Amino acid sequence: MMNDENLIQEFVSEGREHLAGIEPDFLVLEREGEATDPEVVNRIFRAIHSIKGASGFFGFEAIKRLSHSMENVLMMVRDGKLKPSTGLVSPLLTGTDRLSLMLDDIQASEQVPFADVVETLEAIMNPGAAPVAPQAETPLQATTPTPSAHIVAACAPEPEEIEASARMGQVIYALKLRWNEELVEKNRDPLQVLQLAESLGRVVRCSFSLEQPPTLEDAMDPELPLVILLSSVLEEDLLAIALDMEQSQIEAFLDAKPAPVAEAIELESSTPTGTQPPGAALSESDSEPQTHPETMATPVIEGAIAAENPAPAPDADSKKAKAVASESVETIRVRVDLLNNLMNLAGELVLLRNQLLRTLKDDAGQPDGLGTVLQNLNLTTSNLQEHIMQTRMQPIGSVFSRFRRVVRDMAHQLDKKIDLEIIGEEVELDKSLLESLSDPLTHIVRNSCDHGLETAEERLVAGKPETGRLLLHAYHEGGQINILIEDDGRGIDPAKVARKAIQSGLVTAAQVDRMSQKDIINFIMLPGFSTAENVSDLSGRGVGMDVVRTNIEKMGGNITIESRLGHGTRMLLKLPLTLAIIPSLIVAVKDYRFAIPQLNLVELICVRSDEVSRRVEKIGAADVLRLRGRLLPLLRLADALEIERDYTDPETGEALSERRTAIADRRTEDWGSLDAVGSRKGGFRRQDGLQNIYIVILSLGANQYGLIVDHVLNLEEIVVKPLPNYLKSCRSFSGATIMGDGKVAMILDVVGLSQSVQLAFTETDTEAHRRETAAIKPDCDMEQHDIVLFNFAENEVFAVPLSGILRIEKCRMENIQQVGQQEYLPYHGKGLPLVRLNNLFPVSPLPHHLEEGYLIIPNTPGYEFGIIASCILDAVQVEAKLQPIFDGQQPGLSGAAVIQNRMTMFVDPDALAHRTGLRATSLPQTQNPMATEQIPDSMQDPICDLTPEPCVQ
Amino acid sequence: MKTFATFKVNGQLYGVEILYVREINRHLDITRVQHAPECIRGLANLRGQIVTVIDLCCRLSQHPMENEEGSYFLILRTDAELAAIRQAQDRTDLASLPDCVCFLIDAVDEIVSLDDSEIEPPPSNIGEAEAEYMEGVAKLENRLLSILSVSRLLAYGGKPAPINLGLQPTRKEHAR
Repeated sequence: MMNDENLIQEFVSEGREHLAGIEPDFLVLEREGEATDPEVVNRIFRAIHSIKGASGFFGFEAIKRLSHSMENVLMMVRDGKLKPSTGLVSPLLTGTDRLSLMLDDIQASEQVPFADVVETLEAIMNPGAAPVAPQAETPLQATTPTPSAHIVAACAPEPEEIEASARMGQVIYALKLRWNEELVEKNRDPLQVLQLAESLGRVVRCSFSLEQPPTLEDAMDPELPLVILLSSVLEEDLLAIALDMEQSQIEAFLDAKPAPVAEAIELESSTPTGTQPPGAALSESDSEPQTHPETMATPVIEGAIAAENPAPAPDADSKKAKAVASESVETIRVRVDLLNNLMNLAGELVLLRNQLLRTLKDDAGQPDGLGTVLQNLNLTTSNLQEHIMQTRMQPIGSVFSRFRRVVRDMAHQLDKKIDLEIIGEEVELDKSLLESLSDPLTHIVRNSCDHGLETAEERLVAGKPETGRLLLHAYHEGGQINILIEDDGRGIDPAKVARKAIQSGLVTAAQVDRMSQKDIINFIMLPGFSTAENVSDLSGRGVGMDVVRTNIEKMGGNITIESRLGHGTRMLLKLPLTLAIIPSLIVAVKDYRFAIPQLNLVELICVRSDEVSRRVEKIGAADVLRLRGRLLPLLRLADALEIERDYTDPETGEALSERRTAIADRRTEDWGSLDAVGSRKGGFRRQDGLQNIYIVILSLGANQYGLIVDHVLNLEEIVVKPLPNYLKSCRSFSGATIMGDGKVAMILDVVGLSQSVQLAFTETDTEAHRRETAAIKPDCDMEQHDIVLFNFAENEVFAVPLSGILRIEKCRMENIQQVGQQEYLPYHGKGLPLVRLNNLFPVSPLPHHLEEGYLIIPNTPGYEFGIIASCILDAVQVEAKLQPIFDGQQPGLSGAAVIQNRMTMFVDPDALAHRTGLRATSLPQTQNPMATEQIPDSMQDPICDLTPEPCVQ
Repeated sequence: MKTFATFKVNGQLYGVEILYVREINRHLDITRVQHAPECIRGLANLRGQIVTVIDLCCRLSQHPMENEEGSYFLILRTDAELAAIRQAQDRTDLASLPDCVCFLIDAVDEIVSLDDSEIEPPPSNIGEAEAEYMEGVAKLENRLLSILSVSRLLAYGGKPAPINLGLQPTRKEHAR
């Protein structure tokens, strides 16, 4: 019995996998209709079949009967006797749902109502028998051919019966029940076989009375063969398996050739009508009217096809199916805790390797050859770790694919037309992450379907295509996974959100005026902002978005929302690949080391001592850093963590000094020059600025802030250990890790850290907004430009907006390769198409003697190319008014202006990208309304920020 | 009959049931954790496992251990190890220790076996904080052994600990 428990568990988990696997297939079936790849139908069929088989074995009657009905329908689909359609797929999907409900609580599986589904399915199979369909649960009653009191059980089928069956795609079989000792041992009496047969098809009649069922002894009598005439869609071999009978005991009657049954005998039998056939009581309780809109949908039945195709499908078909089934088994089941252990051990090994490397590096007197051994150890360990990580990786498709169903169902319910596009299903993610990703994603997708996308009529009115578009796109970027959820619906109205925010007292109207749209939209992720009232006010957007954000942040990721009213909403989730081992930047304050997950890292800034006063400003009480025209709030890590410095504060000095005494080392005074940072009395400006300061720019959702640290040490792959329960109150840390030297270092929680000191984002935002408004329209009068100046020909100056540049690299001209008309440069393993400005615009060509040039790689989502430059001149901030050049007839040039007394032509990377059409291979190439130039720069900003590759100094 | 590992903290003799003790160690490198409760000395690396170091002196008497030099680390078993003991010895009363923790102690003393009858309830005249964590006392030859309740010592969350855990640093930060 113990064993049974395990087997049942196995059955349940296998069953779940089967069901999860076939759901997308059903949707394919619905979409493709008759054009569906037969393998898809076969796959569904096999899955349902194995569920049925196993449930029969364990005696889960409800599951068996439901899966059996589904199997029958599927078989007809497979054999081309039924056309797949929505009416057909809907009940099958409902059936799948019920099956998974049953599997959820396997012992209570009988309680799940399923009769309605079976009815619908049977009605699909037996369109002729439609009036009888409601009674299909009690097949004996329904199929009693005549109400006469004397049934002559001539156990050969009438030709008409065979024909009728064939019309339904069924074949009549004579089941000859000959019991022998072996069957007695199995303890099956004729009634059980009859019940089993009922579940497999329609019992036409049988040669024995139901009121006085024959006993086992009767069946043993060779003189009294018991025959059941069964009309079923199953093929002979399958039927034999299902009934656990020899194939020789089953005889098929094919259309128009009724072979006589030798053993057929006549038996007087009273009609079973009026008596409750066995099993009827059970079915009665099952047939609680569970009216689901889907199951009530009128099935589309292709009777004509069934009639044309009376013969059972050729045997070869089913054999092929079996072969495929056995082929697909190439995996083994491994317990997750075993994997976790392996993972931990691999983590230990990584630590040991780090320690070993560190120890031996310091030791000068290494024996010869040790270097190679170490290198090998290093490689093998990394490899091992990578592979063990992979065992936990699963394609994100397993989560994505369920949205096909979600979207389909919601579209039906809401009467909308929604086209779900999924890109990047193959992107792999840690299992634990995948699991926790499901809920937030579901929420976002449902939001998009429900509130984001409009109905077909509304869309037509708004001048959009009738079918709404929802995109789920997963892709790798900088060692992390990005998931983009984008719809072209009505978008979020910032004005409404702002109104709501003011109403609920979150902000004042004055504050809202100074906020950017992006920040206003971010309100929907504030806890408590989503109230029931919002549903109507904001058309539901925001309900539970705080939960989504919390979940994502718990996973070490972040979420950004962008929306354009009337054009759509785009949410970007950034997630780490795995939670267990993450690349991190190690920084230090005094002799405390901290790890900052690279996921949160934007860049590293070193402000030279003589620049401190110029680049660090003070707004109100907050220190801010001026970085490429943006203002970032600054936070001193030492302050946030109250790591001691010589510091007195008149208000709280007492409490602090008490803590100070507890810390031993107070002798490092190098930081005296910066001590006043963060205090109200001083600032960077007051200091002599004797020290360079290191600032780690961290991203916090849409916001960024700078963290001042003493030292930036190195990048390291760290093994994340969870924070002990006693330290859960330390919001500044998300975990701990063991460094190469065996010491413990804390992992900084970027979110918690900023909360602990309440970074003044609003104040910097105000300032940023002021600057933003000054620079909103590109075409009007004097405008501020942050530009990079460069040469193409030696004496012609060009400018590219800084925001439009992803990176600038040096390149050797000799490495450029020509393919046809297009030039390429090998770049990160790919061929990067190159653009020469003189090929596009009437400008002078590159100097011939040039050996080394520069490559400006623009930040143009969806396009990937490099602009060749001969020399990078400067990065400047200028005020200039652009004037058209070349009669404004040159897309790719936004104009020209005189800068530093030189005529300078402004290159517009986006327009250039469109003109060249050099699309990136890794990005979606579909028409993406959000990714074109209609979007203001501010919207593209967070998604297309400079690559978070840290570069010190 | 229960066996206890005894040790000295602040001159007093304490004992915990030896089933809880995994090992006693010296020289662990402690990393202080900012904003941690006062009685948490920090984290240490024990062969790849992160151990929370609890200052037992602070926990029992509200003032941190003064001389850390030469102190010992009494490392407790975690739930995974205790589960086996629970099953093997039918000791369902063992406390649950999800994290790996260790106590900072002054000195290790002997191992004693005591009958249940030899253990008396804690006297009423001892300090409140101490009584909170004490399971009972036993008279050894010429000394008094205070038996500590591991579950109460390690309780977090639940009811507020009687001592100030210094949980408010973040607020102070604001005040500045």
